Amino acid sequence: MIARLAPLLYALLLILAVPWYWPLDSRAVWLGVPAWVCVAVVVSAAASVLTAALMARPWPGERDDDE
Amino acid sequence: MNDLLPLGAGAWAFIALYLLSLLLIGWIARRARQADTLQDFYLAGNGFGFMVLFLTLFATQYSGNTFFAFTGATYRIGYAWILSLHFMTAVVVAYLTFAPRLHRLARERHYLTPADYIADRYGSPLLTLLVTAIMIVVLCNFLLAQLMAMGRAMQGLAHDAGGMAYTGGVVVLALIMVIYGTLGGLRAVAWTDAIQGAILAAGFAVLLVLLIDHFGPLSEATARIMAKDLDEDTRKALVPDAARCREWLSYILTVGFGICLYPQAIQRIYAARSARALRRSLAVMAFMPLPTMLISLVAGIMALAYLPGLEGASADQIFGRVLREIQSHSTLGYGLVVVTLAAVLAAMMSTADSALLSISSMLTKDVCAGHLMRGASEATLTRIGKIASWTLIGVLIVLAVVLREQTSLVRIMDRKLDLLIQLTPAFILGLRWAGLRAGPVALGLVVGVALALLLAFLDLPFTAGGKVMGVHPGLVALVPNLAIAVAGSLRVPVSRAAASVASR
Repeated sequence: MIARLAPLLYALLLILAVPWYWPLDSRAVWLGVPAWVCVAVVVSAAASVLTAALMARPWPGERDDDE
Repeated sequence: MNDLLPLGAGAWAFIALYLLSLLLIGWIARRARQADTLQDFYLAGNGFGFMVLFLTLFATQYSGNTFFAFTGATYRIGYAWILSLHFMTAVVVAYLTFAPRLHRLARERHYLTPADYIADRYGSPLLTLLVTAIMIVVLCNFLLAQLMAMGRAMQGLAHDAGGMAYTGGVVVLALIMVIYGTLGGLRAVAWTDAIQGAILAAGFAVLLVLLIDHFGPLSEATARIMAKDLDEDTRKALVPDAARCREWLSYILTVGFGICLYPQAIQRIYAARSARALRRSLAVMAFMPLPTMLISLVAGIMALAYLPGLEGASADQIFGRVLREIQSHSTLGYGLVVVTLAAVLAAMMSTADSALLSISSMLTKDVCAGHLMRGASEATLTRIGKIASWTLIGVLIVLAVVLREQTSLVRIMDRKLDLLIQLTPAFILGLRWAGLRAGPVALGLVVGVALALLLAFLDLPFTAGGKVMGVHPGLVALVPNLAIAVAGSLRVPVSRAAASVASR
């Protein structure tokens, strides 16, 4: 399921990663950094988690005795 | 690092000890070799398990750029350099698109160099030669940049405004690298990478503690930069404008697909003991941009808030200014800076040694064994590979000394990725689509490379700073490259042999 949705999820994360949708005059600060930076970090962390989840599944053709 | 305070004898002894340990590892790796073959020398007998593979991938991907150019870039453009977090994550995501199939093919068909896959998949000597030539040129450029960065680092450490320390640094560090590289091949390189990766990780952690301790909380730095933005109409903490957002997207795609196609990265996919070891290593690698890029960003932001004054290419020197601030703060700060400096050297050497070994393997296997010395024994070819490493490093040392005062590190990085990304159709699409043919791929590659270079170096009305509306020329050139490869392949059916490799 997750492998099939992965391209869509990555595309969504890519759209969210670039701060094009933030108002240019935003001065919000979260946790000591600009809010848009906070969101960028969260999106990047989400991409890392998704990638690790995909890496946790055996690849097609991977043999049990591979190790 | 010209701003650092002079290092004491203890600090130099620590650095010397670290360098000597690399030679010792080279010697141990030589004793661990299992056969006098190219496979054993260049791929360590395809025996890398999870931990060594992870550390060597980490140490290879994060180079001197991470400390110098990335901190410098943050200093120049502010928080917008958080994009480095995205593009380093994109590298690992890009591996997902081809590493599983390439690893399986490499195991089954005993690939040694990236060109082995191209030759096997397409059966075209012309395309194989083109790919090899592009990879060698790119890696030579990359290796040269690393050697120059090493020279500058030693120049800063020794407080030598002239060229003696620079030249000495380039020569000594390059010689140490080539000695352990020729003693133990990839086994030595990866084992030293493991040490270098560990020092690098420790260096990053130490740096974060030092930065917060010395400069105070990040919120104060943010407030300062934001106030300055409002005064001077800049956007270093405010939301990036549309042009910067286009640049973000361009960086994510270009760096993501460019770095994963480094020849040394492809050879690490080959060298993995198993698919499981490779999967686990890449899974951990997916999280590494978070600590490393964030710390490099914090260093640049602190410098931007508290150490103003550097402009343009000289901003790459800001990392040295940050270290000096910390170094003069306390005895503990001085000691921790020494660890960070060892990490900087480690980052540069671990990236350079992998590039050197990869070039040597391509010259030996793809050029000598493939064209000049067909039928030579494995032992002879291995010896030739070692001679190639020494000759190449000799030439690059001379170039590094001659070209001492050249462009900033990040500009060099931009150009090589513009070329590497042109290999995307040949490698990534070729692994996923059996219908892709050699002729159109070769033609697309030539057009893509030529266009990328023209856009990068010609001062055209629609280019600025070597980019097209903020987009990397390589990414622009990839469009016609891909179009030619796909359209040309759809016109003529693929040969049965090539389809067989691609569909495995």
